[in-house]
Amino acid sequence: MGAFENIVIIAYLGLVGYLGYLGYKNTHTTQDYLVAGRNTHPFIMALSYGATFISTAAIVGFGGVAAWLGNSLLWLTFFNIFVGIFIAFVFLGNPTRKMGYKLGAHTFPEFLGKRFDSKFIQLFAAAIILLFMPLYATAVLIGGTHFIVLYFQIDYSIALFIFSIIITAYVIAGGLKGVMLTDALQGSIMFIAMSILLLFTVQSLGGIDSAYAKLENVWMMTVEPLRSVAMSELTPGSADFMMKLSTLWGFNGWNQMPEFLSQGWLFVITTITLGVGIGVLAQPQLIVRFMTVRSKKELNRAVLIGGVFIISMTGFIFIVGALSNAWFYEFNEGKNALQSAGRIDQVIPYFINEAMPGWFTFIFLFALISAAMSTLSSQFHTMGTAVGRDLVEVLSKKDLNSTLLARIGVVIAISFSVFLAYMFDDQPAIIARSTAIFFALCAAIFLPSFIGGLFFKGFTKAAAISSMLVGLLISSFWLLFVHFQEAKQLGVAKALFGTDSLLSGNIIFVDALVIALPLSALTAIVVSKFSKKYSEEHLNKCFSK
Amino acid sequence: MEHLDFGVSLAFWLCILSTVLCVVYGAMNWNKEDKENLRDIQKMGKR
Repeated sequence: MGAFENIVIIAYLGLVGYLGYLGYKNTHTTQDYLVAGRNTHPFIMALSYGATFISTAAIVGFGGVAAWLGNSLLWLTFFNIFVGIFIAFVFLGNPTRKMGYKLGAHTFPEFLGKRFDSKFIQLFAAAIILLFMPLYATAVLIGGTHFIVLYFQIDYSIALFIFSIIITAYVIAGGLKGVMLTDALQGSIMFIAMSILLLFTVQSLGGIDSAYAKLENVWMMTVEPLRSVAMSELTPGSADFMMKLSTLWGFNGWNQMPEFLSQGWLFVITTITLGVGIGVLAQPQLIVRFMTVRSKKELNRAVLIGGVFIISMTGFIFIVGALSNAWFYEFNEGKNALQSAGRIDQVIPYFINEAMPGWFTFIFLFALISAAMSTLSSQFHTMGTAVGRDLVEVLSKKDLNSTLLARIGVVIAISFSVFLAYMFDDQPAIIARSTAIFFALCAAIFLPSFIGGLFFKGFTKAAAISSMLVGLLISSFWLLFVHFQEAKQLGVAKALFGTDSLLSGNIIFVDALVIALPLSALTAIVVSKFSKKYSEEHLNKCFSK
Repeated sequence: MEHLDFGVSLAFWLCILSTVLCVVYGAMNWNKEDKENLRDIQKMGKR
């Protein structure tokens, strides 16, 4: 490493340490530690929300998928901006902020528990978080650690230890204030890196129109010939195998949507676009951010910052991922991206190494580590507060020190995730798919009760509980026994019934969320009609003006 | 953009339009307060 790299590393660690210290210095109460004092600056709130949402998986994983399947992934970017930012901030943000304040809620499970006046709901929500979020965090932790190993050429265990110690320090010390301040720094680094990446890529291909024209040609030259090749002649998992598979799924080019209702269409629209695009609305670590601002004014300002940030993340990386095919074809002996990099998750790192100047490779590494750290710190904080505030405090029924309990919870959450990351550094299926699993489960379990609780006074406790249970049961069933990816990789259907999926045909490409969320919402509506309504007193507490 | 088919082209422009929507909404409501906020803030100060 040269002087430039050393200076950047020291400056980065110094800044992260300073922001963690600022969080610590300004954390005096439980409200400070759990909801950042409810007075966060809109710039910090928006970048923290965005940086928490966008992990290394979104950049490297989905960027690689864009190289494989093309620009149809831009539908996810549209959902990320319109649903994940505009709908979330404009329609859900302020009611969540106000109700959270009125009820004195400091965590998402506590918010649901107090809205529905149910300890069971608070415990259940905390249990869901503690059961599934560690797997999601482990996937991010493994991904981030691998980039450190790759660049610095150090042992995986040492990289994991250093990486987790740094995050532990500022999450424990600074609470949500420390987390959000560092998120804002990390989000800024990600924004700069992504902007440079898009500019370099488009410029090297002669402008956006020229780049898209080249992309059509590359498909014709490298993928169309595969149509006449039998799948049995190709090595499973190889670049040509994957490209041939995409044609069988209904893809006809990187600039085109897959055929309507084909397997590819169902995968792009239900799993990628709806699964992630709607799933984001029910993420506990994101919802809690609405409770960190003082007024609607901050949320309004955050809409502007968040919209620009998200298009520069998923929008830019999807465009770059797809266009990398044209770049590799032009500058790497006529091969497309997958043929050059070998694997989907290798496309973006390989493209950065081959196409970008050396100094940018280093900056991009920081963007990836920042993406991992910002997601992880929020996950650890959410899991820690779920342990301390939502489980121990509720079960003990005593007035305990919430901040201390949350800090102990953070240590437990980090230790468990680091243990999993240490044991499974090659990411077994359940961990590799944990992001998708967590998004589907959260949406099916929490979304009807969260939105119903915010807007409908007639939404009952029985409706909330039954909707959550139905959401859990249906999504678990779909993930374990039907969906073509999770059911196959988890292997439960195979073990019990000798088949990868209990259903067949295109329906196995439909995401769990698309099946479980409507059923969960329907359950809530039906049960609300026939169950006991809340007293006026309770409703006044939740909704009073 | 003539090289993108209708579905992809639509997604591309919706991305741009939704970003513009966020920017315009944020800018137009930059200083807009909720009626409840002043009372909320006062309550917060008392706690």
